[in-house]
Amino acid sequence: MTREEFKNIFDTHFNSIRNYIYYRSGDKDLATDVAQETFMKLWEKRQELVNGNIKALLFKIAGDLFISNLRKNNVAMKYRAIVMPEELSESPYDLMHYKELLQNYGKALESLPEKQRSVFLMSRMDGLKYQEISDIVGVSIKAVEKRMKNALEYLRKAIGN
Amino acid sequence: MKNKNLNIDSDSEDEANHFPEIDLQYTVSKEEVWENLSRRIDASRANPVRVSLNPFYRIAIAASFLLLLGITGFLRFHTKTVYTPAGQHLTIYLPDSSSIELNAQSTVNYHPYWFVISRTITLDGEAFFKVVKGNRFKVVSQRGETIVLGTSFNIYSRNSEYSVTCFTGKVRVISSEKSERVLLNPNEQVFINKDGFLRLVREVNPQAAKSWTDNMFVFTGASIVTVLQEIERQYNIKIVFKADPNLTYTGNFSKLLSEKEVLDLVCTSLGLTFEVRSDTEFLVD
Repeated sequence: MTREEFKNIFDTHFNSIRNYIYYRSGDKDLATDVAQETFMKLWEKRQELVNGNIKALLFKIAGDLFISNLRKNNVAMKYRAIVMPEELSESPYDLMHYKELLQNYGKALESLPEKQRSVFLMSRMDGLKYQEISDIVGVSIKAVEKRMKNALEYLRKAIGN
Repeated sequence: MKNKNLNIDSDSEDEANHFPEIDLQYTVSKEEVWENLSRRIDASRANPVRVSLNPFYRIAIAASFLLLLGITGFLRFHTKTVYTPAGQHLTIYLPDSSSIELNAQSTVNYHPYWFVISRTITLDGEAFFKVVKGNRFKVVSQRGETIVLGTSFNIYSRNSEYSVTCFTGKVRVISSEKSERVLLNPNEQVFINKDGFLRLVREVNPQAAKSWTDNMFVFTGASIVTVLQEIERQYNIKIVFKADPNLTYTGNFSKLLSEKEVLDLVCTSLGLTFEVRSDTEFLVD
């Protein structure tokens, strides 16, 4: 692997790796660290790489690093929902109500079990298909569907309250 | 949140999109991460990562390293020894075309393949050197070291006696025991005394010191023991000496004479007698 090839891989996958760890951990700094470490590991192992699925390998490395990091550190979980600009034109009452909803939504994400949350956010934020998610997480499509269904149900309730 | 009344049965992939996005602004940008990575990669290049090689290459590298070491070791330490038996003289030409005339019963050692790098010779006995100009030429003997650049000189290093006579150029002599040093000019001679200090003699006749190379042996107040030892060496004979060892002899002889004629010459002048015991053994008293 040349430096240039490595740079290409980095450009292609860095964001999704970092987001994936953020979805799982809820900690942006941790996500950045783990993602950087992931690519460092890939570079160190470049000699041993056989032609294979680099993307799957990256997610695997990132997941493993995240697990070992989780044991070492206390993770500060934080998700912040974004206010859609076009929705800000509504009445002050609606706006207040909406902000409250967003807060609830963020909290709901934090309290969502990690497996459901990461599946949900990969789908919502990165627009990944169930097939792609199942490849990354390493479970069947059925299981992804189930996690997704549970997550939606949970979030719906959280916001509805 | 315009779709609060979500339809549970709708495709959940679509449904997810009804929920708000979350903030994905990171404090560290992707570019900054790449810069960090680049720095770390460069640093790990500076202390190169252990590259694992397959066993064949490992062995090949180890073998060539050993071979190189072996060859260097051979070139460095391969020693040539030249010894002149009693009764013979020998001229040696060194790799730099310097020459050594070796007197009887003398030994020189040197490293022929390393000679270009370090002109070092060990000498036990007596030799006359003609050294071509070049880097430092060093003659190591038991009691002293002689260092020259390009010159001719004679070294006498037998038993505990050591003397150097300079013919041309300049010669540095260092006493091994006292590390005393002297720079000899032409026609100067230096001895190392019993106490290890140097004794310089100016205005000597250098030809006397190298007369042995012309088969002439010149002695000035030399101990009878030294004189008889020289005769033993030059004629390859054995002399049993049973007289006063403090006698001194001044005179000279040529190797054109026979050993009996030489012994007669020396003994007569000192009032000694000698008898022939066999072809190679004589008794002096």
